[in-house]
Amino acid sequence: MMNKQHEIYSRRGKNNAWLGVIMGCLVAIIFLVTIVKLASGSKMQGFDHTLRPEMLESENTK
Amino acid sequence: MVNLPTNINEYVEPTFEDYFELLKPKVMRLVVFTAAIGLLAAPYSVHPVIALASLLCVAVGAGGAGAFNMWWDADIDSIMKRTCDRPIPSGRVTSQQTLILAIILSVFSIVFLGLFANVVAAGLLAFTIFFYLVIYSIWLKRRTPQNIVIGGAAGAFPPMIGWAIASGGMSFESTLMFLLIFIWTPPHFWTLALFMNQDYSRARVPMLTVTHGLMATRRHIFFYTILLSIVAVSVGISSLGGSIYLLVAVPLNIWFLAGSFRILLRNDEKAKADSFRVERKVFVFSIFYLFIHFGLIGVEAFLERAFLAV
Repeated sequence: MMNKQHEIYSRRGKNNAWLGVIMGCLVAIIFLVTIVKLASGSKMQGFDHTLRPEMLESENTK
Repeated sequence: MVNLPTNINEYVEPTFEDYFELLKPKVMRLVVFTAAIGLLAAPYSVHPVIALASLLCVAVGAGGAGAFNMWWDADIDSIMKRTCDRPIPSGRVTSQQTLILAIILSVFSIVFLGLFANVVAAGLLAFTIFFYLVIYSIWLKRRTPQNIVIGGAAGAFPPMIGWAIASGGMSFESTLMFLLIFIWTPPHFWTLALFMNQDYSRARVPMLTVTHGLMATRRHIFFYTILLSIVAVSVGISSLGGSIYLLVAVPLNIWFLAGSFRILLRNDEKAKADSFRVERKVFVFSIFYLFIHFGLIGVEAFLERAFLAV
C-alpha cells in the first residue's frame, strides 16, 4: 500500500517537472516571438499589430 | 476531473511518456517535416524564430489531432493487434484524460499559430484537426471503404499550413504538395491493409480489403500509384521542382510503379506463401518515397535561395 502511494507521488512529481519545463519553454517562445515581432514591426500599427497601409506602397520587395 | 477507481491500488498514474504517446509522435514527425518543407518552399522569408515557433504550433496541433483520434478510436484500437498497446486500450491513460489533453493542445496550437504567424495558417490548422476528428475518425472511418481516400486529406494539409505560415495564403504550388500526400495516402495504407487485413475485419473497419477483397485493393493500389506518379512529376516541372528533383523522383516513381504492378500480378495464395514479402517491401518503400520527395522539394528551395543570395 505504501509503495503504491509512493509510486503515484513519484510519477506525479516527474509529470509536474515535465510540465514545468514545457511551461518554461512556452514562456521563452512567447518572449522571443514578441522581441522578433517588435524588432521587425516598424510597418505595423502599435495598437493591434496590423500593417500600416501608408507604409505598404514603398515596399518593393517581398 | 479524472475518474479515479474506487480502489486506489488499481489506479496507475500516467507518465509523461504515456501522454506523449497519445500525440502519435511518428505521425507528428511527418507532419512537422512536410510543414517545414512547405514553409521553406514558399518564396517568402520568415524570421527563424517565427518559423520555429509556428512549426512547434503545427506539431502540437498534430499531437492534439492524434489524441482526439486515440480518444475516439479507443474501442477498435483495443481489438486490433497493431494498436492494442496504445495508452487507452492498455489502461495507462483514461479516455477522459485523453480528451482533455486533445482539447487543450488543439486550442492552444490554433490560437498561438494565429498569434505567431497569421490567421490563414491558424485556420488551416483548425480545419485539419476538425477534418481528422470529425470527417475522418467519426464520420468516414467506420462507414465507407473510401475512408482513407477522403480522410487522407487531413495528413495532406501540413505543407499548405507551412506555405501559409510564410505567405499568409494558398497557391498552386501548395496545392500540388497537398496532392502529393493526398494521392500517396491510399496506396500506402492499402498496401499495409493487404497484410493487416485480419486486424481491420476483426475491428469491423470497412477498409477496401474487407469490403471489396484483396484483388480489388491490388487494382486500386496500382491505379493510385499511376495517379501519384503524374502528380510527383508535375511537382518536378512546377516551380517547386527542378533538375535534381526530377533526376531522383523519376526513378523512384518507376520503382513504385513496378512495385505496385508486382502487387497487382500477385494473388492471395502467392502473397500468403511468402508472408506478403512484396507488399511489405512496397509499404516500407512508400514511407521513404514521401520523405525523399519532400526532401527534394526542400533541397530545390534551399539551392534556389542560396543561388539568389550569391
